[in-house]
Amino acid sequence: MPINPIFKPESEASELNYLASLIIAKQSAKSPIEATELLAKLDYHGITLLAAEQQNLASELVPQLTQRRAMMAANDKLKQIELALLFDAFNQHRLKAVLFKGSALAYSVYPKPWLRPRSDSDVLIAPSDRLKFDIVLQQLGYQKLFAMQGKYVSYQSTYGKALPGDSFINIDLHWHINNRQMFCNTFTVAELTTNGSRLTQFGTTALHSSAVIPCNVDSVLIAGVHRLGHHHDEERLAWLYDIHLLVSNFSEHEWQQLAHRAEQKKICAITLDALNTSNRYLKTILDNRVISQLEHSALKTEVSAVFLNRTLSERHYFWADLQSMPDLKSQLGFLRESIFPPFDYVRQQMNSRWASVAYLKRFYRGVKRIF
Amino acid sequence: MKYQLAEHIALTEVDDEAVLINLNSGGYFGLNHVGAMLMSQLQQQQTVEIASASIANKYDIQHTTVINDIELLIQQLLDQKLIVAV
Repeated sequence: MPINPIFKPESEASELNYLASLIIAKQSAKSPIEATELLAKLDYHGITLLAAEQQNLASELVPQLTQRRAMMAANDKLKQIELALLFDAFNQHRLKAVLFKGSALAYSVYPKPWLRPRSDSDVLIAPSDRLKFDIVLQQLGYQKLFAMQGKYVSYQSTYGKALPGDSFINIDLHWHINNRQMFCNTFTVAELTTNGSRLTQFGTTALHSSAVIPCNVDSVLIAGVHRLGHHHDEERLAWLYDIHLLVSNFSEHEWQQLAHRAEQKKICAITLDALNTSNRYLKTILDNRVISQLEHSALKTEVSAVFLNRTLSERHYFWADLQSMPDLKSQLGFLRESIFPPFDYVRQQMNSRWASVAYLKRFYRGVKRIF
Repeated sequence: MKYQLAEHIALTEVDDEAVLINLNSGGYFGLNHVGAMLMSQLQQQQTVEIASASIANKYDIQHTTVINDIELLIQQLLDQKLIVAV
């Protein structure tokens, strides 16, 4: 009887390699990680059900995973219905919105939407439409859960709504594509809409109208920016798998478009890093000519390349961000809001009766983050 | 006898299995591949007799054995108000 070889992760990279191997093909080797610990690691990376699809998890986990899959499918159905209602309402009010990131990908490139876990659905709108969207969301029973106050420190608000049972849906309403100053204007609603495609259903739930999602090329660029700009200190396999799925069906034309747009937006280095990392862990097949093209373009100095150095402190990213702002007025505004957030906002967030102490703490944190 | 999904119930296929979701309460009910096949047949307006015959045929089991199990399942689905008789 053949003995299964046991793989022993020696470093974080080899552990990532091992976890990634569980979602790309059936593995014959016995897992070197104990079942419960493995489940926790897969959950962190958002790839548990993908690994289960490949039948790579221990038989003792099967009943739990079957239950979880049914729960995720049920939960997703409730969210599909709610998202369809939401986008139909946006269309009814002639409001332009683009669904992007996790939810958009779950309903376009994933074979089953519940395979792509996500805590919220990201919607991009034009900055001038914020109030109109706020009204529609509140009319539909959403509550604004979180919004940083300030013109520059954040470009998103979260709205939540309870669904039947214990389900909940969060909508992240963005009026810029990214909270980083450097990336906030990488894409606009108008541009994503022009290049994008239309979904007439979310999973098995039809919309009366349709919802715009970015085209696959733009989705890869957004994923690359999100991975480093927003989460520079972590590597999640779910985000890499998004990129893997997106480029797996790229035509030659789409590869060319990717190189062209990455250059136009001066994000060649971070796009290249996203593609190469996806290739390293998930064996994503890349277009060598486009990779060479991106490598060549990345040699030119791109300010955004600072995010490739994932060991820098937040201070470095902050100053890089500040320098990318268009004028002194906005730079001063960003500095002021980062150091002196509104008093009421701090009191609310810190949930403290000692508001003055909370404010001083927040002030200290703000200063430390910057200098 | 014919049955259909109750008004507030949605069905989602999960590979060869299925999940019935109560859109009012958020509760769900998982069906294995045989249950999923039964629901698929019922949704095509087939009678329970025809559906169970087709399941017996597919899995090469005696019709009488299948019909007993199917009747039990149908009763459970009725009790949970997931399906209604038409």
